[in-house]
Amino acid sequence: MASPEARGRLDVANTDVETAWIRPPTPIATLVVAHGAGAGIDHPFMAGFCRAIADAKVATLRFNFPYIERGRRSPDPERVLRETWLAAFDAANAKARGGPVLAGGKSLGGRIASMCVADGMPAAGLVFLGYPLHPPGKPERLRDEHLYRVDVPMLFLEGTADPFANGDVLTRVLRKLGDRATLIEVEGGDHSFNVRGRKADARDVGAGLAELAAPFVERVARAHSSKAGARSR
Amino acid sequence: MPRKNRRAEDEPQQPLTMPQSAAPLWALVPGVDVRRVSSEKPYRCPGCDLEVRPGSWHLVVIPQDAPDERRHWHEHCWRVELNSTRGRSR
Repeated sequence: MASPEARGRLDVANTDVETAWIRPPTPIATLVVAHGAGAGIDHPFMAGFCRAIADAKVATLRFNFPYIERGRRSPDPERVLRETWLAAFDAANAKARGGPVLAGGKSLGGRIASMCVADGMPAAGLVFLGYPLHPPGKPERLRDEHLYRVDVPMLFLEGTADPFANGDVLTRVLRKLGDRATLIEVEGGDHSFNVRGRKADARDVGAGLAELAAPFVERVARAHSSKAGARSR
Repeated sequence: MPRKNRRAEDEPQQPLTMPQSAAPLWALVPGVDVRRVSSEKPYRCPGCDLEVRPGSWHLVVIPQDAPDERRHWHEHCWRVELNSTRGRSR
């Protein structure tokens, strides 16, 4: 059953950014979801993902970065993106009332989330929807240094035809990350998880990824509640 | 409300004398902006590591998440790059 979506605002870096909060009746976890570089929270992919994962009892808070609110094409400086992430995470934490809060996002949004977590943002896990491991054609320009400082479970959802994540490079990074990292591949998927020759609505593509991500979030939530139980005993 | 202080073009800022046209459809993939350009400057193609000759029409590929990482590709090399990732199974 569809859960209602509540719109809100966050004040970040002198900009009022829009948020969308979806809370299913009995959530097992909350996932904060940031958008990719090219589109904000109203993109059908983002809406489709968040609505579908609510059916798996995962609440979501998604938010815009300031440059989207200002109608700009180029992302804000990294400092502003991080500041926005921290503010959104705090807001979600308050809404989650003690339940586990995970961080994730599409491409750029997921990458900034992982930088925040590497530097201490207390997320219970990370969900990457197409991690931009390197610019196309430049596998040596790796954006992985901070990932090794992350000590929570990470889920990498990656298209096998994504020029931002060369297969060999990804395999090497995941090996170094060890059992912190889980990989789920979408065969033939590009950076937006579209498969050539198969026409799909972005909403359905997002919903399909939610189905793949849900078991990981459940696992993190279970680990979180058993840890919380051990503490209270 | 109409926006003030709009920049002439957002990234990348290139001289107005540079002829430009839309990139072919096959060259467009999610996550990057692709434009067809010609310039008086030589570039190094990341695909083949050879020069993109001054004055030749080629593609400039701009990652949306990092416009600073834009690179100039031979059309053929960008096609090869896309084909080497498209449909590849690991």
